[in-house]
This record gives sequence, C-alpha cells and structure tokens, in this order.
Amino acid sequence: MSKTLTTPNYKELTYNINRIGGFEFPLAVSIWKAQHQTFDKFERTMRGNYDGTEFNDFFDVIREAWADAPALTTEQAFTAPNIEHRRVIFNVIGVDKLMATLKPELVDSKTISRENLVFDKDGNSKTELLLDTYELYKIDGDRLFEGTGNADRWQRDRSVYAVKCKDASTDREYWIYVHADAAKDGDALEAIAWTYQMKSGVYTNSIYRQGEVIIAKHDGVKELGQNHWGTTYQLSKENYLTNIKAQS
Amino acid sequence: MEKRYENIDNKLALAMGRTGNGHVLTSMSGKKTIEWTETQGRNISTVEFRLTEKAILLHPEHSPIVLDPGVYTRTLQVEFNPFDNTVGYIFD
Repeated sequence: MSKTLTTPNYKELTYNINRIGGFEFPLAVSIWKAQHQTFDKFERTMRGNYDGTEFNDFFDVIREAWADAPALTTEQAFTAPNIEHRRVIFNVIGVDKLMATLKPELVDSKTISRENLVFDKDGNSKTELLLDTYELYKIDGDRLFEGTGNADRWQRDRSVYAVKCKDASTDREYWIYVHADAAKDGDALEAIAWTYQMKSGVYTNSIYRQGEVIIAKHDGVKELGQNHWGTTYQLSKENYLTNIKAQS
Repeated sequence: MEKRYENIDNKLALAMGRTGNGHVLTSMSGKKTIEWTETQGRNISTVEFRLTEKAILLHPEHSPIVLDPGVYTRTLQVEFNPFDNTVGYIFD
C-alpha cells in the first residue's frame, strides 16, 4: 500500500516560537528574521540535528517570504492579543528598542569615577580612571501591559525598571531590566549592582567582569548571613563600588 | 582539606556567546595550570576554577583580563524579565 503525503500550506499554519504557539505565518517570519538576522542562520538553527530533506518545502516557503518580511516593531508587540505573544515579541525586539519607543521616566542618574585595571596581551596591567554613568528608568506598567486582559492584572499594576549603562570596552550603550526590588530606593547604582548575582558563601573582595561573565576571586568562605538566603545573593551597592577590580 | 577539581587544562571556555564568540581563559605559560569543576544549575552551570599560574581571559569584543593564581567562581550577569516575572542570565 502506498502512502500519499500532502504538503501542507505553510502560509496557513500557525507556529510555535519560544515554546509559545499560535503565531500566524507573516508574524512568525518577522520574528524569525529579528531573531536570526539571515535566512541561512535561521535554517541552520531550525534544522538543528535533523539530517534529511523532510522540511525542504517548509524552508523553501520561508526563504521566499524572508526578504519581504517587515521588521518587527514595538507596535506589533503592543497589539499582540495576549501576554505570551507580547512577551515573545518584546524579548526578540530587545529592551533598547523598547525603551526608545516608550520614552521612560528617568528616575536616577549617577556618574562614578573608579579605578579600572586594564591589561595588555602579555599580562601587563595599568590602572585607568573611568567615569561610568548609570541611569535608572521607569516604564509605566499600564502602557507595557495594556490590553492584555485580566490574566495579568498583577503585572499591569507594576512599573518596570531598566538600567542604562555603557560597555567599557565597546563603548556601546546597553539596557538591562532590573527587578522592582532593585529600584525601590530609586538608586541607579543599586540597580546595576543587583545584576551581579553572586554565589552564597563565597567571600570576595575582587570581582572581574568581561561582558556578561562575572568572576569572583575567593578570599575565604563565610557563614551565610541573613541576606544570603538560598544559593545566591545580589551584590550590594557598597560592594559594587569597592570590589570590582576590572571591567571590560 | 584542599578541594579536588574534576578537570585540568591550559584553556577553559567560561561562556560561549550566541554569536559563536567565547570568553576563553588561557594559561599564560601554555601549561595545564587551570583546574576546574562545573556544576550544572537550573539555567546555567557554575564553574569554580583554580589557577596555579596567571591566566588571561580573552574575547574578540572585549579587552583582556588577567587573573592571578587563586580560586575563582564564574557566574553570569542577570536581568529581570518583566513579561514572565523571572530572573535570567544574560547571554551575549
């Protein structure tokens, strides 16, 4: 008995992206384009470990639609019908574009002068004085979550905070969302310190950061204090100011 | 009692970015002087390592950082996700 396979109409299907289903074809392609930039990268990632031609038709359809797929906009996120779709789109768009659209309120701006160790490839070091500026911003939660229904009322009442800083090596500005607890005192330095999640029990006076990689040199192990619940704790503003020896 | 590490080499990748660029720690003498143990966590692993000589941390987009001999823990910077109310690690 022969088996007849029918090729589905891929443009009529809905797609699952980042484990969330229900994305219609045009929006799905725009999201993939924002995530992967080029079709080749998308195909490589999506095919993953599959070896075969089973999905060739699917990739042909996507390839055809790729060039004309419009860039993802924050408006698409705001008009997405549910919070899950909105979350996927916002995550793909990124916090920097979102902030440019939302025009958030500046809560605090602090510039600190600090000594930073810089190294050459032979391991020689010198100390440079750096001026770092950190800005804490607040976004109106109603604006961010409006129209998403009752399911997330607990979120709708919350303001969202993000801290803006500059990368010491690349000179690029970047944004990091922080928890509301990190912004409770309206202090940009507390907010950036919160992004350093340290391992409980490790006592350190020397922290190094290269990009997102944080390295803590052990200076001993201390008893877990009241602030050290669980296996991690967030760095305090005071430790952020004194313990970071090099950032690049 | 001195801690025992599971691995030893002259290189250790501390993080691999989505762009394929990694933060790679390399022994400055070229000898196998980096010992480490990696413990898998819920979202990322924690790496504890010991350097018996100086090592240099390199990444194509960042200036190098040189670490003196000692014991270190590697983790990643975190960010909040307001859309699902979770704290997650930042990946380049």
